Amino acid sequence: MSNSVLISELAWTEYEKRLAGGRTPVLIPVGALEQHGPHLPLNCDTVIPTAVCEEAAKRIGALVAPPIEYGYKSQPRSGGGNHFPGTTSLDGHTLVLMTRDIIREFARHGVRKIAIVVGHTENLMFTTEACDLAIRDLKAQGITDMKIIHMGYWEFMTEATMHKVFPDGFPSWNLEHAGVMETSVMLYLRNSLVDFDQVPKHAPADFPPYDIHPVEPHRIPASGALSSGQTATAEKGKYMFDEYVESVAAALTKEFAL
Amino acid sequence: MSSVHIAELSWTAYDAKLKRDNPVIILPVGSLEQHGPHSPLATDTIIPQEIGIGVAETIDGLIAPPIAYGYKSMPRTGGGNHFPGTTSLDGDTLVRLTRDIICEFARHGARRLLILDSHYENEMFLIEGIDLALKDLRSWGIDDLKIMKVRYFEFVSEATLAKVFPDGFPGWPLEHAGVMTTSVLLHRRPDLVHMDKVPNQKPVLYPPYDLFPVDPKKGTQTGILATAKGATPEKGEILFKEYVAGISAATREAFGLAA
Repeated sequence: MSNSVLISELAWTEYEKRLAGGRTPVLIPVGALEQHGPHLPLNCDTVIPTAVCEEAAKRIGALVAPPIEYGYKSQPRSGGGNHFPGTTSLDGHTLVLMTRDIIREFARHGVRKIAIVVGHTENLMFTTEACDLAIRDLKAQGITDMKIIHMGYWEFMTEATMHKVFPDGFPSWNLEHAGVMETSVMLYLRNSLVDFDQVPKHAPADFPPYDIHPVEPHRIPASGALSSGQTATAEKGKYMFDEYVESVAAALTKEFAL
Repeated sequence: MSSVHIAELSWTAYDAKLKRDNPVIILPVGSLEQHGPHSPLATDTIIPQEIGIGVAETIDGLIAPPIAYGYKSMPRTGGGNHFPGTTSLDGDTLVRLTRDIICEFARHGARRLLILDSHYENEMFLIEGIDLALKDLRSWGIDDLKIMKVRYFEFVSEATLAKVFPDGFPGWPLEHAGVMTTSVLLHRRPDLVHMDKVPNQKPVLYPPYDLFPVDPKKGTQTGILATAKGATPEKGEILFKEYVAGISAATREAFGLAA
């Protein structure tokens, strides 16, 4: 039988065996199809959390669900805005219901340990709501022992790594859209999808502390990147990726008492 | 009749004001949520209302009745949704509430809207309410409504932060019922603050993830995330004046209003 950690590659019988009566955690990556500058692919926010889940799953004996590859609407100050071609987003409630339904289905299979691993900032409150609604629904069905961990993978970066990767100062997670972190990790994970010649060289975006609706594209860098990924390298990418995997695996081991 | 409160105007006075001035309509959005043993449940509603009145007076705008219920309190930003008194909405409820109110003001003829948010957990649901309202309005042929969304606490200068937090700023998520909100309340509504009940505790540290369901035995027991011991009405006045001035100036800039 397959040794794969990907649920999608298993037969239902093997899947059921691997669930081990609910002791095995299931990790669900939640990404986006969203522009990431001229140099990175649209699936950046799905590729990274999916890879983090796969590596963490191998270490702790977990399974990985097919990722949710569409996310909530890109916001100007954290993703450049939802007006770029290629960016393909869901209404909030659609993402909430989709995530809730998937959690409830895994619960029906007997899964009791779920991690929601988000790769796209704008998803976080909608995936939070999905966790809350799923737990509430399950309680009404008499299932009271489900435990869910919800995370944005980038929050696991340590201060020490931040200094190493951003020697001239860290711009902020919001401005890191298609910046040094994502470009480096993609160079490490999927080098063939990165067009390094196309990395924008412009200064970080300078936004006022408020949002305007409808979006005013002239306020946003035309490249779609919010800071430059010029100093990105595959080595930095490996360093950050290994740290994400290690800390996510450690958090899951602790919270799920593995 | 000259009130800045829409609720205090007759429909005819309101209609005349909209037609004459195309004023900015200010919609405060808060929550009914525990804010420690020392501050009222409506802290997040009172503060944007007070700021909203100041902004309305400064830019000749109008203020709408607030949305006084918000999205569920999260442990890392509000202590969690398990405290008595905290009374929250499902995300989709808040989205629809926001969308409906925006569409109604647009139907009245308002074309400038300032959404003044103060509850950390609300933000994405307000953004979604705004986006859905603009989509609905476009399908009705209204394409000239402009909306500005502000979280008031982002309008504070580095200099003021250093003054209000001489020992270092803990970060906005930890400022739940902390020095900032407590100081502003001491300035505007001292009758609702009980400084003798401020917990004397170190900042509560959370791991970089959320757990569902919440375990009430973990995390803050008092409801606060960092102590408000350093709160004073003087700090509150500095902060409040800066919020009103900063948001008024930004609103003028965004809507192209004369100073």
